[in-house]
Amino acid sequence: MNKQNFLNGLEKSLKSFSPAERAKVIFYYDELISDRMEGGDRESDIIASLGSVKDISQRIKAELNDERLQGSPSKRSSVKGVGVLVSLLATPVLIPFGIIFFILFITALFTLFGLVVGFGGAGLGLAIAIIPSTVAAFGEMGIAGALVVSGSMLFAISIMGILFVLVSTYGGKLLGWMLRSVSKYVKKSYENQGGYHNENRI
Amino acid sequence: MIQLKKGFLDIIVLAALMEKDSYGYKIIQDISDVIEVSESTLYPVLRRLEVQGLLTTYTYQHGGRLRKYYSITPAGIARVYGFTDDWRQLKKAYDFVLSKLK
Repeated sequence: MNKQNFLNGLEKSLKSFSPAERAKVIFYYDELISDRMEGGDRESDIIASLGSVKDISQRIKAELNDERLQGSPSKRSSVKGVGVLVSLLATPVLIPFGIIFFILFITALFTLFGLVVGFGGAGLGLAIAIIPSTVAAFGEMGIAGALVVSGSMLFAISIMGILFVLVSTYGGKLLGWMLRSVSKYVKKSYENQGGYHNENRI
Repeated sequence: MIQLKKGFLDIIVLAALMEKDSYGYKIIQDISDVIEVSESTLYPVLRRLEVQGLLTTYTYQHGGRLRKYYSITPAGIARVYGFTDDWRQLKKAYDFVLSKLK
């Protein structure tokens, strides 16, 4: 692979970046490859030594994430004990976040519970009503009426059954996903705080 | 240990700029004897130091193309001195621990 191919690939993998940020990365690698070629290295060897484009973009993304989570740079201008400030700032951020999540979670739980009970109850009610309704329809309209009524009620029962199964399966998955993603987020922000403390202690 | 190394790398890069401004390729050459560093590990470091105001950048013409130079700021210099202070304290603690081992 030559330099241009490498840079094109890198640019593509940085699509989520702002144009200015992307241009900086491309400039950096462009310059480095040129400098190493001037120093006598072979183009293909240099590209091979740089590692995969995916790896490069992931590293930079991780760095950008760290910066976002640690707040604006002016707040941590190399003064000692900034780690404490970061944790103080992060805690009040986590509390409203936790409350919002809790409310969302409870809402989702009750909505899903309501739907499951509703569909299940409707299905059950239809199943109970099917015999007296069929008997009544037979009395009024004969065999044809009985068939129409019992057939349409069976159809309705099966629809309720399908909805019941769908809501309970996917609802459970949704709740699990909510819990997993919030625990991941909390873990990540704590790890970042911890990391920053360590860095300060050096 | 990874965090420790990350912190070291920041300081070593800053220290490499104490005498005069430098550019990516040169910085890697200058510090590669002291610490293991690749192009792809250096970029996030340079970015971070710039965002923190510890270095500034400018471009300069070199053989028909542009090269980006990195220049340490007063805050960056203060950071390097701060590191040596921290290290002196750490060294004391290290010597103390070592003396108890004998």
